[in-house]
Amino acid sequence: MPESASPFRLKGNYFAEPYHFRTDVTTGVCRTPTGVRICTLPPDFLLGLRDALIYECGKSYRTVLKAAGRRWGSQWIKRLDREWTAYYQQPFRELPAGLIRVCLADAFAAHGYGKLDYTRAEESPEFWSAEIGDSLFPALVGESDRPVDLLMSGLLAAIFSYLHGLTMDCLQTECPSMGAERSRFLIGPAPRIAELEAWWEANTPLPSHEQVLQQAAATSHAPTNGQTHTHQEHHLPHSQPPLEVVS
Amino acid sequence: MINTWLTEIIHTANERLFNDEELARMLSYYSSVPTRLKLVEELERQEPSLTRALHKELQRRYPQRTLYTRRLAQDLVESLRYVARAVLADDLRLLRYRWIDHMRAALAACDVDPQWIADAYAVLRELLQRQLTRSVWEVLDPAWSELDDSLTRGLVAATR
Repeated sequence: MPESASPFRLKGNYFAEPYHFRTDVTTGVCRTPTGVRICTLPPDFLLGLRDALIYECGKSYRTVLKAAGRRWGSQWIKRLDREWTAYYQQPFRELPAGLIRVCLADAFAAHGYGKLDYTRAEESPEFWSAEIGDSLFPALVGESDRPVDLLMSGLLAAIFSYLHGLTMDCLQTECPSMGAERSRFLIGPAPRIAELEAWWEANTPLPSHEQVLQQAAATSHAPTNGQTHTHQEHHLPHSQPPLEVVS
Repeated sequence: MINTWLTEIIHTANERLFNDEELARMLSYYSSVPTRLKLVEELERQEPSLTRALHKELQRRYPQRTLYTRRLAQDLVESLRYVARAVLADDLRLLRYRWIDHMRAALAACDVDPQWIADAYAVLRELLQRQLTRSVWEVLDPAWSELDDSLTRGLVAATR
């Protein structure tokens, strides 16, 4: 996250209030404290969605699923930004980077997306190395010859893009469906991730996370002068109210 | 508010009699509910004055520690709400889940010395002890010890 000299704060786990997700059984509607509607999508639905995308889109299903994650993540992080800003009574993006990391990990855990952690890549500081333990799709899909956490890749890309004010992308480098312990991702500026993804795809067997990091460091570019933290949000239509998935 | 241990007893005791241990715990809890409620009321009433006093005292004792902003003093005083709810429910798991786990992770992630937060809580404890009666302090004490224990360096380092 962008470095911040903002004072340290301690407000507790935002999601750990009793009945954070409150279901009104008379209407059959579940909402967060701020009124955002939440619904549970069971594994059958998620696998059905994935299978339908594979059937309809062929190999490009990976691009479609990642784009869906990006669109979802873009809305999700905007909502969380609003809620956390109200909770902390100061702009969320101005909180210390470590605190933002803890808040995001709390959010992932509360929504059932797994245990998130990330650090800036020491080898190449323009990248972030992230991992999700017990992520959803690898548990559902089982074995695969390619990483399957595409929704999470898109989600992470959207979150980091929003918080950095840059167009970031995400490459999943390791996946439990390929025998890894947890899903691991490399997040960085979109053009750099595109270069790395092309290199990664061209290799057999697929390079490990550490090898991708080494490649990133070896091909590191000098920072572009224009790459400041100006906010460039994705130009997505937002006509639909946010509807989120809890699995 | 959720009283988790009581809910668990009621769920597991479905269609059977409560055993002696369960009855003793429930009776002991219900006899202490008035004191617990008094603590919650006291803490709520004293929040603004505690915030002012804590910030002033921290600045006086540790003028070189810029960490102690007024907002952080307010955050620490507001953390007593989590303490109060755990005391009211007589269940420290609520305190761990809602406050302690997050606090430990945040301290480690932001490289904040947990001793500084422990020092701030020690000052807060002094301020509270001046204002709470002994019986009220007794119901608060287990939760406070849990907070103190969580702030030891080893525990914070273990979450890194």
